[in-house]
Amino acid sequence: MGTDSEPADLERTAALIESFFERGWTDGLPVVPPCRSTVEAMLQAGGLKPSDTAGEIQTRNIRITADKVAINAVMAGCLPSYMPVILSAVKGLCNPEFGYHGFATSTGGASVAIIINGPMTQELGINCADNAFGPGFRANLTIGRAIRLLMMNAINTRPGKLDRSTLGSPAKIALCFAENERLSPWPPLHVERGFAAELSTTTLFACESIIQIYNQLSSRPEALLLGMADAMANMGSMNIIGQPQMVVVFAGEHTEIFRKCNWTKEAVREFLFEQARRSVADLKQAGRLPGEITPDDAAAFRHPVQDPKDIIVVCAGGNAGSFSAILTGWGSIKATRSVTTPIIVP
Amino acid sequence: MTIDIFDPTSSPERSSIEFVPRPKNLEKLRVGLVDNSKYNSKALLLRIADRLNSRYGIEIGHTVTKTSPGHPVSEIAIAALKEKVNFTVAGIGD
Repeated sequence: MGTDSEPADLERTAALIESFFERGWTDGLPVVPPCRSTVEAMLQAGGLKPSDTAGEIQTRNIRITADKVAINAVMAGCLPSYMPVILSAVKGLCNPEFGYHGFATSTGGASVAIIINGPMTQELGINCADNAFGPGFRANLTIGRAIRLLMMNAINTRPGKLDRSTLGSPAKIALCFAENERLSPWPPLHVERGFAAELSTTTLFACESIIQIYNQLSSRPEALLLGMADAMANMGSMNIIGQPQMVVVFAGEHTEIFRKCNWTKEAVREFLFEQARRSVADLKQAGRLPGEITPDDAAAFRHPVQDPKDIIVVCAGGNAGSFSAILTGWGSIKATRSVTTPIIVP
Repeated sequence: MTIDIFDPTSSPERSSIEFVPRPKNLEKLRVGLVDNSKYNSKALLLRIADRLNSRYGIEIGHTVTKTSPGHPVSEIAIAALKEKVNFTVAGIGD
């Protein structure tokens, strides 16, 4: 029986939500309590049985079973139709190239950026436009959240334990967006990486931070990219020393500049690589490189990535506003590489 | 009324580890050094090795540098350590 003011089932649901907090199973936000029907619907949408293996992380002796993916997906607020996307992201998470143990444990506080390509982005309403990184879109927020909840619950990546982020970031709760393939003048990311345009994929990237780039007055790519290169060469980032990959995200107004001037992604990468650099002298003075400054150091330079190919170029964001962004990388190019995995709908 | 609570957690799969017996005496053993590639890891390890040499006559038998701090030591490196050293010191640095 409920109280005079609340039905009994509402009170039970509230108590269940509270019990998940008490058990330490949440990301700090209330979760949707899973039940038999919602977990089964999630498994069915993924074409899996509960004990099937969704992925393995050998450095942690962890086998992720399908039921745990389903439970955490329900808790995150996902629809069953999102399950194939989540399973693709789990495969990416477990890909040895992605180097789970490093970024997930590090004091560096990386989030898992999930970039989604292909027709499923529209089928599922995965936002690629206004507020691409922000709130308001169920698919974006809950898919990203499902992955983080899975990391915390099924891979024991908990703050203060096997997640030693000094600061962390709100993006660790969820950072998931679609590439705006309609807006883009270029081949989408998954096609660049060898997948057919009609396939859908997830690309996972260990993201140290998001830096927004504001430029209203540039009408030429060179001018626009100079500002972006300056931010890429930030002396305080992991990139300038470890040289992991980096993602650059161009939104509508900036994308039009490249379209009008017929710049390819390759041209963007080459220009950014050349311009984004810091002298060894500066880096030693700032304590980012060891040793005393020598006379040659002022003319010796370090780039935030090792090769122009390590700059991942995508389009996302709204049509209005002179903003783009860089997603800086975590760690080093040896420690982690972004991974692209197909989304398989059973 | 009972409510089923679906547990979202799982634990690592247990595996058994056999510990190698500790040497009874450290004199003249060979040490392996595993550098995790962070700044100062190598410097720290070499300083430790130097002290072990001063106190016990221990020599460096083999050194390994990991691909990154987050990578495990490779099977090839483990095989080499097994062959060439009596014990290993793995270093953190930073």
